[in-house]
Amino acid sequence: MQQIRGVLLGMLAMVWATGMWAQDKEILFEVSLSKEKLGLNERLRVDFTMNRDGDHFEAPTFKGFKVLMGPSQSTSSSWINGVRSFSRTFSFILQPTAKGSWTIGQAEITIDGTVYKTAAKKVEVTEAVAKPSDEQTAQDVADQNVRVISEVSKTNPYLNEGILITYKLLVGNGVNVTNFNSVDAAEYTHFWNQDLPINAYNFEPTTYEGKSYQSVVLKRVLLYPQKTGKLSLKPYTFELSVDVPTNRRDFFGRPLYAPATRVASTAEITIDVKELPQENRPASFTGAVGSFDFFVTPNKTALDTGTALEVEVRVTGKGNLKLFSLPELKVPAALERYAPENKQNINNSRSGMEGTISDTYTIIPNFQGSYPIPGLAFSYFDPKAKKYVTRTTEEINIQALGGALSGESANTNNTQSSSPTMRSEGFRFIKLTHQLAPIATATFIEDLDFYLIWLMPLLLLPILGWWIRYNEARGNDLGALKRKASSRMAKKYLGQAQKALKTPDSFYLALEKSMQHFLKARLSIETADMTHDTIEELLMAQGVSKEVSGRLIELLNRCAMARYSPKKISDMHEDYTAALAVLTDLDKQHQS
Amino acid sequence: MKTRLLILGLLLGNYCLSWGQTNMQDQADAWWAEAQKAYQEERYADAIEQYEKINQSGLADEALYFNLANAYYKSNQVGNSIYYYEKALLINPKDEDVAANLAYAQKMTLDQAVTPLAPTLGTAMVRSIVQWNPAYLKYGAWLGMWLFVTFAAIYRLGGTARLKKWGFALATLSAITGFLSFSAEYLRDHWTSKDQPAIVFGVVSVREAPAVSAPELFPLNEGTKVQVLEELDGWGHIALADGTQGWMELSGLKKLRELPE
Repeated sequence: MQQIRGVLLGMLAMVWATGMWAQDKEILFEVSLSKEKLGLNERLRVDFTMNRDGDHFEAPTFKGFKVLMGPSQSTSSSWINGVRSFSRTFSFILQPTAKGSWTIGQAEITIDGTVYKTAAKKVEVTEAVAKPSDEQTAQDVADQNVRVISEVSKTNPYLNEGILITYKLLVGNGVNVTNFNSVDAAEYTHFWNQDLPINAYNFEPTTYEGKSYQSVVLKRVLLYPQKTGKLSLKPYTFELSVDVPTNRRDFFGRPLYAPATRVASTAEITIDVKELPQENRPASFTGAVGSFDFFVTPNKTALDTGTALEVEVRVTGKGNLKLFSLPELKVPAALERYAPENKQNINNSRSGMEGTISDTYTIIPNFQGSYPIPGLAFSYFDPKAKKYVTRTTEEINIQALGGALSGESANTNNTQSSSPTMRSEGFRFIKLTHQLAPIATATFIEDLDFYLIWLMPLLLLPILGWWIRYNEARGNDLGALKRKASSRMAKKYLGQAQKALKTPDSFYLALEKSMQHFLKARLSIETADMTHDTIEELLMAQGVSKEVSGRLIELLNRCAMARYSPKKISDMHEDYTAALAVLTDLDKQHQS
Repeated sequence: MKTRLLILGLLLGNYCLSWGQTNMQDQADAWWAEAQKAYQEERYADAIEQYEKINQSGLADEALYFNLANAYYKSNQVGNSIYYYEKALLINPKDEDVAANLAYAQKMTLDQAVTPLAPTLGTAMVRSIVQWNPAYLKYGAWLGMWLFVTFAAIYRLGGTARLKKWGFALATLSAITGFLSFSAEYLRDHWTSKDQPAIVFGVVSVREAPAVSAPELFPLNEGTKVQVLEELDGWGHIALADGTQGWMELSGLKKLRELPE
């Protein structure tokens, strides 16, 4: 019994002790205002809270306010882990009656015989506000706490330099966004654009304009400006379905949400697109902006005629890959080149387009030979380094072998030409012999030496003429020479005649010849022209007397006769002296 | 006496000249042999070097141009190759070896072959006039003149009527020959100065007018043969074989009749 009593006593003591501990907690009696500054048309809620039950609550006089409701009492009391918590609140809803600075006075309560008072609080009542905050609808909350913004990675890019525009949704505390639609998609005039898909919407806390939000990326678009100057990006408008928490709570104390719809637009953005520099712009520049590598690769360089090879022109890198053309492969005209096959393998990422574009050419040599495919040059503008870069490739030499088909394949469209199959004309070897000579100078028309040699003989002509005339003047002319020769002959034949005095035939022949030569010399006539009449005439002209010429003619006649009718030797002597006399007389008379 | 001295002097000068030439010929022969060997051993760059030495020395012939062109072809230098084949054809337009290998070289060019205009009677005539050898014309002119004077003297001094008759006839013939040769050279020179074939080197733009700002008509690639019709301040008015015309910078072509520097 004793024991039981002791246990009960112990328990009581514990209850008391705990009670005492609870009693020992500091007694609080406080006032709290829903706001300290309010518009005339707003309401003020005043709560007086105590943590111990008390008696004789006395509300202060609310000067400048009219009590709309109250006092309303709410009490809560609970035991948690053996700790009792208690709270009792007296609430008033007040309506200000005039502008100004008012004081909420002290309220009194008696707890355990002691009087507690709250502190006085000042409240400022201002002009009526447009929309009393305490009448905020779900829509208002949504409008205030849900925003969409756009961010651009670069506002002054170069032409064709990729930029990224990101549309973000910012959500204020407590608001849930359940769905969104783009109502008015931005038009990217003068931009090449590529939408980047968003795989997951992840919320991240951010601070925007001093307020903290949860942000999520709604949309990302890659833009490549295609025009220089100030370009504006029109606002993007989204329609958002949101749930806004209300003041009401459900059975479990969770706030109740009210649905609302928010139509939000981004701000308009101006992009200032810079022109690519004109200076040092390479000729091979076709508008590529970024950073690239350039290759030209054949799949083989030696092949048979009539078979195909492929040459790939490839650009790899980061930049506006879809927005420029690859340099065209130039091949010797004798190679058959087909239109290239274009391949693109491009990934769009937040940093821009990245990947490879290539043109693959199929080339068929129809004739054997060696065909150099010249190297290509590809230029691009590097916006980071702000300069042009040119990448060039080496010349490729294609060897087409096996001439059996050459020539034929080119003529395949001819229906079995009747002419024998054209043999492949091989490349001829060098010539083994030479006839090297100085290269003929342009022309001799302007050559002085030519004229000297050419015209010299013409100069010789007057010299010759002068020489002839000179000799004539000296009486030593050509006629005189002839005469000299003739008279020499005359004397010679005369001498012969003298020697032939014994033989009449040769005597008269010599005598005649002598006289003929004499006449030739004297009269400058040929033997053929020697008739007696002409001789007489000519002699007369030279002033020879008729008597002398008569004797000469007679002598000539006698010579002619003597050759046919031989005479005595005495006659010959006579004739010889006569001839001598005639010739001497002729000489004399001519001289005079 | 004077004439005799002059002739003696000329002979002596000629002798000295020919002596110098023989010296040069020997040197050229050495280069030639070296080049031929290099070509045969497929050392084309060396072959080009030696052939070019001969070319620079002022000696040349069709064979040199042909071999040089072959060496350039083997080194894939399409412009130079075509240039020297064409030069060989200027000397001898009928050489089959040159024509065959030129066809090979032309296959290396990037431009499509153009169909040449059919030659008119006039162009055909000009083409044949241009082919005349000035050396022959020069000797023809000289010989004609000298023979004329000789026969004139025979005519003047001829003892017999027959001699005089022949002297007169031959003197007339010689005079005609001499003057024809001279005027032929005049014609040849005139038409040669008008006939300026050239080969394009590098890639050039043919424009509407002789200015860099003038619109481009078409590009031409290395190895294309053009005719230079006119020249103005470093620009040439050119025509292609098919008659297309335009202006291009003269630095982009090499004239076939140009002598090596």
